[in-house]
Amino acid sequence: MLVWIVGFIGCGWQIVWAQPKYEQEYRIRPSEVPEAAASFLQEIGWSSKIKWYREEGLNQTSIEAKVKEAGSRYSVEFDSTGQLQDVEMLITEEEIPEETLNKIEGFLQKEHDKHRYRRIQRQFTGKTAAILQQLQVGEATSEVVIRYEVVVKTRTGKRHEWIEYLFSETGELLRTSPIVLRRTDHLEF
Amino acid sequence: MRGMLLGIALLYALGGMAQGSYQWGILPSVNLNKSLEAGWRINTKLESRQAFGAGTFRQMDSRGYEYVLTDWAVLGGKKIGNQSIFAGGMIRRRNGQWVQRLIQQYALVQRFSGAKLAHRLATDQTFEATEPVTVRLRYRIGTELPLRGRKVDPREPYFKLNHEYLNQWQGEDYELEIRLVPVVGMLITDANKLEMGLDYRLDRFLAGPARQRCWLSLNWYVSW
Repeated sequence: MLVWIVGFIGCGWQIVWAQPKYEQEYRIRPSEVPEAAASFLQEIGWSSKIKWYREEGLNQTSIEAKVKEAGSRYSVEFDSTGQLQDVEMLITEEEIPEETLNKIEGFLQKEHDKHRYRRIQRQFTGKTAAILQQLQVGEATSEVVIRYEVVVKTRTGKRHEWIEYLFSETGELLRTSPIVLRRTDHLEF
Repeated sequence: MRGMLLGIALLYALGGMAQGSYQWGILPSVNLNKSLEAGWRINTKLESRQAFGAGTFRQMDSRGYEYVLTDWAVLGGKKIGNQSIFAGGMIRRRNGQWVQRLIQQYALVQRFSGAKLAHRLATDQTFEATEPVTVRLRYRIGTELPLRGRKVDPREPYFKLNHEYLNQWQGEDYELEIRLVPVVGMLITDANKLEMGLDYRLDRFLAGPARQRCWLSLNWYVSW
């Protein structure tokens, strides 16, 4: 029995470490967070617990803070030095301004036979001070750029795909990113 | 999720009251998945069962090593979105005899933020030379949770828990088997996964002393 276990773990270990680098993310302690990032979160004044993650991509590393505050879920992303990249807030379809939503809907209906929203986020980018004001007081300023990041489950003909779209504040398409879903053979068989 | 917890509690209660038999050992398996065109796929699984101990609780006797069986299953089917339907067969070598089984299954995998929830409904029909046909109806619910970060990425571990109910009819006899399988896995690549954990099975408790079996589950999933 022990031979089976050791052999299994040994084979797995060899296979794991022979693989090329992949993107990975993992939880980090507040003490590991760059000071600039920690200060930004402090200045916002959120009282809820903050979960910090480090995301190691193929070419860059970023730090992300995830918070649920006053019923809303936020994701604040920083570069590895703690400089703010963007803030994202999870919202529903109903929270997108009607004109913008109509434009997004029109695009999705034209591109796909069927679609279902899986995640919608309102994204804030711009000057750090302006974003801070937006989050503290809730007042929009022209220095904050608002975009909508939408993940949809789609069917186009016989093709089923999950796609992430980025739209401008007025519903113009900015970016399309197909999402590669992990295989689920270990859950089906 | 609540149903799964209730099932686990029931399993514990029934197991605790059992005065029946036990068996434990190892259950290694290799699961290969080949994708074809237009969503069609072929799945084949080779699984062996070897017992290192078995006996009855009352007498606390114990038999030593026993090779129990080897299964080889081949299924073909189609995946549409997050649903799949497969059918095929399995042959088993046990006690020097061959056993054949036909299998049909439907699976649905739901994706949430990081976690996955899978439902599998399956039926099978088992044919043995000296036994009436055995028909089973199975339902399994399973979940995968990341153990590091918010989602499972390559070279990251995950926790998987399967809970299954197997209804079995052989002639006029009915039996229920309940399984609980917690494993820890490593997503080596999207096409390569290794898992290790426990496969606990409880059956024969409806009509008499229950039988409890606990296997060390070792699974290797390969897809291409």
